[in-house]
Amino acid sequence: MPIEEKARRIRKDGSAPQLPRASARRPFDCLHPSFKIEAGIPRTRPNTGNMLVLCAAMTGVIVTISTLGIALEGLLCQRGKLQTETERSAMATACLINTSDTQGKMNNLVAHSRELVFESRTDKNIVDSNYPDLTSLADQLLLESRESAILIKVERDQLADATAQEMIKTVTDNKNSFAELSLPFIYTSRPTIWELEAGFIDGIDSNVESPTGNGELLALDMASGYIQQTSNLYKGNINARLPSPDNDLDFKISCLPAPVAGTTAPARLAGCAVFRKQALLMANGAATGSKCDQTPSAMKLTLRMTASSEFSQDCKGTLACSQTALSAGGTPLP
Amino acid sequence: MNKQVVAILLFTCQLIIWQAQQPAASQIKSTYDWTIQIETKELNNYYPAKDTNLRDFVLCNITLCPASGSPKNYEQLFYASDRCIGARRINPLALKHGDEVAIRLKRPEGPPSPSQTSAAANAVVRCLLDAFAAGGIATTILTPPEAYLNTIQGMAREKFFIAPPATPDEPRYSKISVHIYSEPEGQQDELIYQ
Repeated sequence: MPIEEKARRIRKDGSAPQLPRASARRPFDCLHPSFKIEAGIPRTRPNTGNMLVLCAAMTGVIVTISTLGIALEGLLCQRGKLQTETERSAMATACLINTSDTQGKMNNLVAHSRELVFESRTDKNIVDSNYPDLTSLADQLLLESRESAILIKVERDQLADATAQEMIKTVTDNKNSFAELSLPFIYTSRPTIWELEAGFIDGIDSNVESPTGNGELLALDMASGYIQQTSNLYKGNINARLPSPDNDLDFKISCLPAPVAGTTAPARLAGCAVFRKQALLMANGAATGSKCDQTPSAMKLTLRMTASSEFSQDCKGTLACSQTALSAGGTPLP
Repeated sequence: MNKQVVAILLFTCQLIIWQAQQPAASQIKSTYDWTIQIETKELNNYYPAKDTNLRDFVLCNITLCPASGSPKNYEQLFYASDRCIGARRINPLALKHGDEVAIRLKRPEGPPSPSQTSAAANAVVRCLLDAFAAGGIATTILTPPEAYLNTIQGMAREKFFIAPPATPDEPRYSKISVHIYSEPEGQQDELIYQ
């Protein structure tokens, strides 16, 4: 009897025929399941697989990936906050370097003291040659000039040391609201000072104008290479010694932006590529005791924090951010 | 008649003697080839660094005034703690050999401080040397009457002292001699460098 006849008979009788073995090819497998139900053919399904477990597993994977993503995002946020904090601290410190234009005025005092010694020596040379009766008066004024130059040198050295100490104190005392980050898988610490360097910005001269009213001194300084010819300013970070016998005196002029059209340059941030180091004031959070030969006009601050993970003790690293800041420039002469 | 003539002659002699005893009506020349004018100005809080020994900043502006022509800024002298610490030449000293030079102290605004007085005296001495070195003849210092005594005290710190009265039998040993007058006139002295 054909299969279709048997299927028709089942429908009428309501009894299920004996089905062939599952391994045998079943022609009615191609029938729609609804026909199978009407025909009383039991449904056949595979015994392996569990969608609930699959969904749970996928949910777990998604949650894990999301948590890792959040942790990494938190790490990047901390990195950004570290950069912001470094900039803020650097700027606050730079604003204190040349308060009330002490550095600019000291540069000018050094230059004026130098010119005074030069003039006194010139008068003495003339008097010794032509007016010997005035020698004692010329000696008196020359001695006073030289003593004043030594006094100015001491004050300048004191200013350089005081500036460095002020920078260290400001950076150390700087309070911040930087909080630790504690997330699943990631932990970051509070930022600490790694390095503080004092120096200057490459390409910036001093704020001292060349002695255009003193022809002899101007010619001497031009020949000695002390003056930047394009700007008519003394070069920065020089020791403008006078000729013998006054070459034992130091006349150190440091870098500082000069006023332009009567306007003083404000303190500002700068790129680390143009910073030139003079002294390392702090290393690993502690003062090194280094001294600056010239009064610094710029500084570079590096903050760092550690990031670690609970996955492994070896899974830890350091985030560091550096920022350079330049002090305010000199003010015009009175 | 004879009595009247004698009386007139006596009166005339007395008048002549009295005139001879009076100083000259004016020993300040009305014109000099150059007048170096010194003006002092206090710079309050000029260098506000911590623990500094530089205090009481004074700026001396020195101007060259020719007999005919407009004045020119010559130099600025900087003073602190009663000592000269710097100079800034603005224009050269355009003196010729033999030019007569007077140094005038300009009356400051308000009563001068001791630092200003000390600075003015030192500036006078430096201008004297500059004038001598340039070949000028600087023998006169003019000062306001109210600053006359202080100027003399300041000059004493620079080793310029009032000359003792000249006597015919005692020579005076001094290489540098200047006269100081108050302007308007009333006081005068001779200062010698010792």
